Amino acid sequence: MFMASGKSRGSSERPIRVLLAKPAIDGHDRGVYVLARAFRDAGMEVIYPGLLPTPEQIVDIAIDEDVDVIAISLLNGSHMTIFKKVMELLRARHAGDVAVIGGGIIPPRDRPRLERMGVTGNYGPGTPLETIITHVRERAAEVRRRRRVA
Amino acid sequence: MAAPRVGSTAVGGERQAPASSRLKYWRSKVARLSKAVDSRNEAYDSWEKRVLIPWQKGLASAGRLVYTSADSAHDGGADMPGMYPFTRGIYPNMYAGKPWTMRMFSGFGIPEDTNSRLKYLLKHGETGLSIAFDEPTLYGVDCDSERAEGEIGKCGVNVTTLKDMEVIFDGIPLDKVSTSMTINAPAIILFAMYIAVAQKRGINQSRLAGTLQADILKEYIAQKEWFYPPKAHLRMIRDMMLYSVNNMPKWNFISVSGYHIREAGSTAAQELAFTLADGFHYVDMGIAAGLKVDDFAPRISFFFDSSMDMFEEIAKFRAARRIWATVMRELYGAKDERSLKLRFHAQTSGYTLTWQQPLNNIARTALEALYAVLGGAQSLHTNSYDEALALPTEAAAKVALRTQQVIAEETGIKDVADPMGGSYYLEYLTNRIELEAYRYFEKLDELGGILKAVEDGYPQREIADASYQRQRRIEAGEAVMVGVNKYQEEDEAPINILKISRKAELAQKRRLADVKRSRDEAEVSRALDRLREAMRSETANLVPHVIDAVKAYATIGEIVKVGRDVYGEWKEPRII
Amino acid sequence: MTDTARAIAEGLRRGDRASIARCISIAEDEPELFSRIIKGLYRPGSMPRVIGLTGPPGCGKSTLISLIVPKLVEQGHKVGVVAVDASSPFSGGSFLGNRIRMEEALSSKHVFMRSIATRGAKGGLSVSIINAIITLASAGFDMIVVESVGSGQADTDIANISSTVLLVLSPGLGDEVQAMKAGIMEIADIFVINKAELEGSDRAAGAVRSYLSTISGGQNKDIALTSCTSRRGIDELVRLIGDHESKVNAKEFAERAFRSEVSRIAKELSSRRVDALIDGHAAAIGQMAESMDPYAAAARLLQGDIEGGRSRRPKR
Repeated sequence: MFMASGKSRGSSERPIRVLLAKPAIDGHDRGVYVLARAFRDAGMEVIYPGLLPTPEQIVDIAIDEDVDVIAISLLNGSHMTIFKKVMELLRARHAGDVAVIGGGIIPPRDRPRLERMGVTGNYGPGTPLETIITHVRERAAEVRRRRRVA
Repeated sequence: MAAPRVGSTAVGGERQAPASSRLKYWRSKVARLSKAVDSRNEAYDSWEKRVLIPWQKGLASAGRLVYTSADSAHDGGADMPGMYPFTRGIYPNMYAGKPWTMRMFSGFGIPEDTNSRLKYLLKHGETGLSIAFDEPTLYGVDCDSERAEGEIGKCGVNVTTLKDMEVIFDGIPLDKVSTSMTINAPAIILFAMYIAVAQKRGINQSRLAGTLQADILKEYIAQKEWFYPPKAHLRMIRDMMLYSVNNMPKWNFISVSGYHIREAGSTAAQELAFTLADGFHYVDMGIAAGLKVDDFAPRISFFFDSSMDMFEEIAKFRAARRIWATVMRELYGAKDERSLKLRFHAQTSGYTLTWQQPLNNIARTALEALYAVLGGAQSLHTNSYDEALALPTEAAAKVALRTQQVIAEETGIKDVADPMGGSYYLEYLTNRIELEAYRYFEKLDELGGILKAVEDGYPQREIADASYQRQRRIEAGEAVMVGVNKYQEEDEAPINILKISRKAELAQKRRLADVKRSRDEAEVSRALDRLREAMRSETANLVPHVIDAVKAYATIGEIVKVGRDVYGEWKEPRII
Repeated sequence: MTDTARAIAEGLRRGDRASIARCISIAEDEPELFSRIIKGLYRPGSMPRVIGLTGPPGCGKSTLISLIVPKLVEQGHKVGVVAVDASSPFSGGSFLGNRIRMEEALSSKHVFMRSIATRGAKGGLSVSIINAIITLASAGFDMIVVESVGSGQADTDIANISSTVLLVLSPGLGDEVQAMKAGIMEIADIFVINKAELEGSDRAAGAVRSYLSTISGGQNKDIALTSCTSRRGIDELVRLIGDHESKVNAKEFAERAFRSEVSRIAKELSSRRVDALIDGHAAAIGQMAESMDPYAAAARLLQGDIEGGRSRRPKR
């Protein structure tokens, strides 16, 4: 199990760092805790700042913690407003190289618009954890490649 | 009535019985029930050996396959509906006398939208109104705050000042309807607004009927919406309890809620145990505040989830009634039968709904609604099939209501009380869930009581564990969700979903600006100062002060800020 | 120096948060590059002071830090906070949740916080902590608060790099007793009985006091009672920290911490070198199975003498 999880010191990269956030004023955190554990069990370092971080706080934390991925869960219909804000703030703070992944209750018709903003994933309830984890890994790998070139 | 005796311990869980004798009580229950639940069934063992295993070509079964009379014994009292301990229902004739109330949650957009929806419902014979508020209201955030952006009117109606409540209830006879408000953290503010609307119209508060879903403990456990540390919110519940006991005979000051605990991923037994433990804490608070148990316990009601596991759910509802009646009588010495009867509202489960193949959700909701009825619910809300995608459309909400009507009118289910009672398996499960609940009560008291356990994150951790285990079983295909991990389909046709426009946001902001222009600022700050003073005193009742503040058109955010200044904020304990 | 390195070094000088953050990651990915970046920024001899907090999980360390740090900032310090959580030994992942109770309090431009996982630093100090401290020191932070995982060897190691060690306990959980067993009592400078609003806090303080009377130098150690809900005792604790800091022998502390850091970094670098050697010579090592014993093979590996010196020099 130890080796199978891809963790052997020195020869593998340091773990993917993910900021997991639930920024809307909405306390339903069952999903984020399931994800937090799933990410941890997939070998990632999960930074969880508690409930209700503002978009500003999310971006501050993402920068200070030098995360590869920001994963945002939104259930209450405010996704368009909040993702837009997060993406704008990231660009304004020259942190556009962080990958942003969305999930929660996101109607299919909003997905293309989110994708165009650069928010990928946009998974609904019932998405297999494996699918989400694979996506996080892919996006994190891109981010690291980009950062290395930079 | 005895003068309320209120001290700093009144909300912190001063116990009716000392902790040690409580623990002894739980332990005796656990010992007795585990004898009934865990004992060997010799008839089964011999049947398994002689009949089952040969039939299965030598293989034993992983679990018990059938239950017998030996598994289902209970010595808890009369086995008839309408009699202590009410396992089979709180009324002798149950739905043959009066069917359950089909109480559908409504509330969306701006107050005008909700007002016309309520009027429509009243015109069609509803007398029980149930109002949902949006997230900014639930979090005490004014509609003109940046934090509220994009959330106004999305999950319920927005209320920022008394003006909004005046519009919501415009033309509605407050002395003739009963109103249920799902409001939690700002409960005291909305309660005060409701009273203020009535008073301004010359309706005496004693004629107001309704229920407040003000259970704050389940917020810390599950739904995570609060303003202050637990003790500050509990003090407000105590004040609402005292105020309504003294002034409002038809007002149910608290609906203790398991729904959110279950939706946060708990098991059925955890839902039951933590909810009842919360209920007992409110009883402790009432007693510590100087009330006699029978003066307030009849006004406590409950709210449970109805999820997919048929027999477990029915057993849960039955066990809930049995435990509440038993503990209220044996531990709290309640004598009034109404104190012993656990009345509950049920709602079908939201987290069993899937966004894949959403029409399947109609089947799920119908089954869950059926279990709630078989479990003896007093009122029921059925979810709409599109809720995993967005807020329900009117068409979807109508199917949900029709589902209840089909169950009520076409199945013959109303004719007999507790029709499942006597099923060996169901009776066994009822005992087992009861046992699991008592085990949790014991554990919680070992940790210093429910409040301390919640502050330290114990129930939260238990629920997160259960939720993760469930997710794992779904991932592994051990737990099936049709359309999600079995019978999946590619390229599903999209369904229509509700879109809420930003108009609500603009309208609310405009109204608030008008209110702020026309109100007397000096009066607002005087009222808030008096409220602040009252908050600093442990013994004052806050309700009249909040009523004054809302009448001066202080906003919800301004009132909450006074509380934050006095009590500080609260961050959840970490649970991983 | 590459452009990236130059840009980050420049950022550190300006106190740019993104540069500080990235630099801590670089320390782990590319130690040599990191070394080049901090050269010229790190001022030998002016170690930042390190306040180490240890104590069992649930005793309120995070909340306490969120109350102490703003006071240290008021005193004019630039404060770094390094909060450590355990990595899972199975997956290598971790849940870094210390921000939950710190976030609001620490949003100041004079504070920089980083969450760190132990990353399989078995029974010892994670080199990531040292990387963060060095980076923050290079960016001009003069005081670092380290919250440890609260158990075992890692905590004793944190004492080695700390100028003041706080042992945080809370009443009622039998913490006092556990802590005494763990041998952490000897290395703590200040004992904090947190959650003093709870019953049993005086008893806990009494237990600590009577234990201290049995160890040498115990009488000189301070005990503080704090309550994060009422904020009682926080000012007093900050004063005690200041008092202790003023008594620290700067030279002695700098030497002790430096030795500890050098030792940990050297171990890390050599372990990476060995890993790289093994990765680079997997096939050759396998072939040695037929001709020698494992000890001889390991010796040749370390000498870079595999298959008649045909070994490649490892990149890392």
